Amino acid sequence: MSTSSLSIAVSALKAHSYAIDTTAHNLANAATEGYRRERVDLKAAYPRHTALGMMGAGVDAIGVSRATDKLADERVRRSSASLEAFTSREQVAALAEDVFGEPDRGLTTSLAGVFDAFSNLSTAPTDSASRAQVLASLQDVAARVNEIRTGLEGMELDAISRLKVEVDSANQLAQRVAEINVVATQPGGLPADLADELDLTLDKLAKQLGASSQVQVGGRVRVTINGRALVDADRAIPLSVPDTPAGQIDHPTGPVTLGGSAGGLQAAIQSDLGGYRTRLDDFVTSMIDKLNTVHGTGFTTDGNPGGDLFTEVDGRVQVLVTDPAELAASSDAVGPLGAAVADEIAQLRDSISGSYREVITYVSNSVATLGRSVDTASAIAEGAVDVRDSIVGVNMDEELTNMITQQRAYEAAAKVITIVDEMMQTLLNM
Amino acid sequence: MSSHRQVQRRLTTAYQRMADMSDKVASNRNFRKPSENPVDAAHAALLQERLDHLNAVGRATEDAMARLNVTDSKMQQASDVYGRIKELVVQGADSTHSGEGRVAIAQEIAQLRDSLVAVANAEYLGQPLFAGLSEGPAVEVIAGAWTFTGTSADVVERRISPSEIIRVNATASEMFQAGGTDMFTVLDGLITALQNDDLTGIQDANGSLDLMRSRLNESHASIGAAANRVQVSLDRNSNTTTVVTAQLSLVRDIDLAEAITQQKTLEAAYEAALGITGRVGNLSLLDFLR
Repeated sequence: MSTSSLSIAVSALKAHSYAIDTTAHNLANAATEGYRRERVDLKAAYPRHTALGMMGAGVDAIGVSRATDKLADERVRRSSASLEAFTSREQVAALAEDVFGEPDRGLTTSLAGVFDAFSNLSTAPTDSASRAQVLASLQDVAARVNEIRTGLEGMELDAISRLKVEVDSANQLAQRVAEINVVATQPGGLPADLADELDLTLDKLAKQLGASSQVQVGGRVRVTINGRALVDADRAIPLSVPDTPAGQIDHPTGPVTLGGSAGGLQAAIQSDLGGYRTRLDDFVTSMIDKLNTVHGTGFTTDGNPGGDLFTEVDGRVQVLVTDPAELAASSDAVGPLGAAVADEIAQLRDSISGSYREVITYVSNSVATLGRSVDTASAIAEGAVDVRDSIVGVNMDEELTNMITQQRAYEAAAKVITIVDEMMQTLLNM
Repeated sequence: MSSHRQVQRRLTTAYQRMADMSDKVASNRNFRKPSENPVDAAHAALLQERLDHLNAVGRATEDAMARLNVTDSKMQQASDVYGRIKELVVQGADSTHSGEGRVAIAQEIAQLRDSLVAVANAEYLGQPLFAGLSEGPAVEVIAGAWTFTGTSADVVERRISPSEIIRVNATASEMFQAGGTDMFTVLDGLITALQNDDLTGIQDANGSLDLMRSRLNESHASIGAAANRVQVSLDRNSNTTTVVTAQLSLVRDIDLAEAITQQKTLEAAYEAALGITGRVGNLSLLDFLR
């Protein structure tokens, strides 16, 4: 009898020292990104036959298992993809809003300057300073419009190059998943560290591309974006970024709409920046048309009909009037003191500033909406990460408590050996 | 690890709120970018545009007022000159007067005529006041005849409210031409009649002068009426400007008292969050293990 007690105690010593090792490993990795806590799975050893029937034979450590929760992973990946998409989109849109420079440094102020200058000209049509002031204000508007356009174009180029970086890095991640897939099919499956790396890589792919993943029979992972395979078995299918049209991403089977941070950039390029530019361009065209039309009804100081104030060359606004005398302030060919046309242009203020206000309201509403989406998505994503962490992460208090249990069990097993030893002594000393 | 992240998040949020409010207090604005409050930003932009418009119209209105005041004083001068001419004509028409006396009267009237010509060619800011839309002169002698530039169709207009335009000039022709002749030709005839002791000629000129005077008075009255309208408009514009400025401030600027109170509250909240974190963050099972 005492020999079987000894072997039971030894099995307990072994099992609990494994358990303590694992607890120590968990504590050591408490701050490791992507680490999931491990457990030594214990099982009562197969009982042995005795005269009394089946009797317990101690404990077996049957393996180390890694905490996983596919559902929690899925939620984290989906919510973080949506958060990253809104965040990268909102960043671009907010920068674009800065390019417009409202309310203090924007085109609105420059436009007000033009109408103020024309209003002054209407009270002093022959004053050369008033005329020069009008020309300066027109130049200012042209400069502001061109600056905003250049800014938006620069932002688009930035976003495209960031998109390329995101896609390149995602292609490498997909390649890594394909490599891990090769290991997964080998006997014994994935070691815990590779399993951690796989989960972390899938997290990153979800964040960057909005990719989703399914574990297939045999342990390999299939990664897809909108139903198109990114990793199929041990093969990674790379995405590419064509030069045109801007923001398009190509999969061998055709263009693909991404999620995640790359998808956010894609949406920013295609719908946000594109939308802002279209609206700005429409406004500029109508502004130039209105100003030129009214100015064309007037007469210059030399009695010539007014020419165009602005023109657009290659998407840049230019002021055509360079000589103050070419400003057509008068409605009367032979009456240089008339200023009815200057006044009429000054009265375009409401309609032109009003149209520009619509442009700004569109931009600011779009940025504000994206900001709210980021807030919502971030609350959801944080919640999902917290839930997953509580399931698969390392909790110090829990590990310490486990360690106490394990230590006590170990001590108890050691005590059993002492007691068996004492019993032996008693027997031997008889 | 998750509780650690939650704590960090709470601290960041509390800090962000406090920093946002400080920014608002420092800039005295409810929003620094339109996207922080698109509705108020659009409203503020509209009000700012109205205010700009009112200010621009206000400057035009003040120009109109100044122009009308100068015009009015020039017309008053002309009226005074008429009065003196009228006195002299009455003296000249008196048959008891001697020939030399009439010559002296003729000399004074010639001078008064020149001063009327000066009034007709008066300038405001370097531009002729009574020559309509052209750069004048309003009255000059061409080939021995008095010639006027500018007719009643040459209207100089100023905007005195966003929806109201008013005429702010009179032309020399409207002031001095009537009944197929003009003031200066009549005066020339009068001078000749005085020099020649032509009593009938003097009487004729006297009749024409009354016609001319009523012509000037008409012009003067319409300038006065315009000045009244402009004054009303000035008052109204300044009222509207005050109202719109107040509205704009309401939409765009922060309520300082409220904002500072809020900022203090947020500061206290952040300090509390820091304090709690310091105390709770120190708790660990390790402290209770032997």
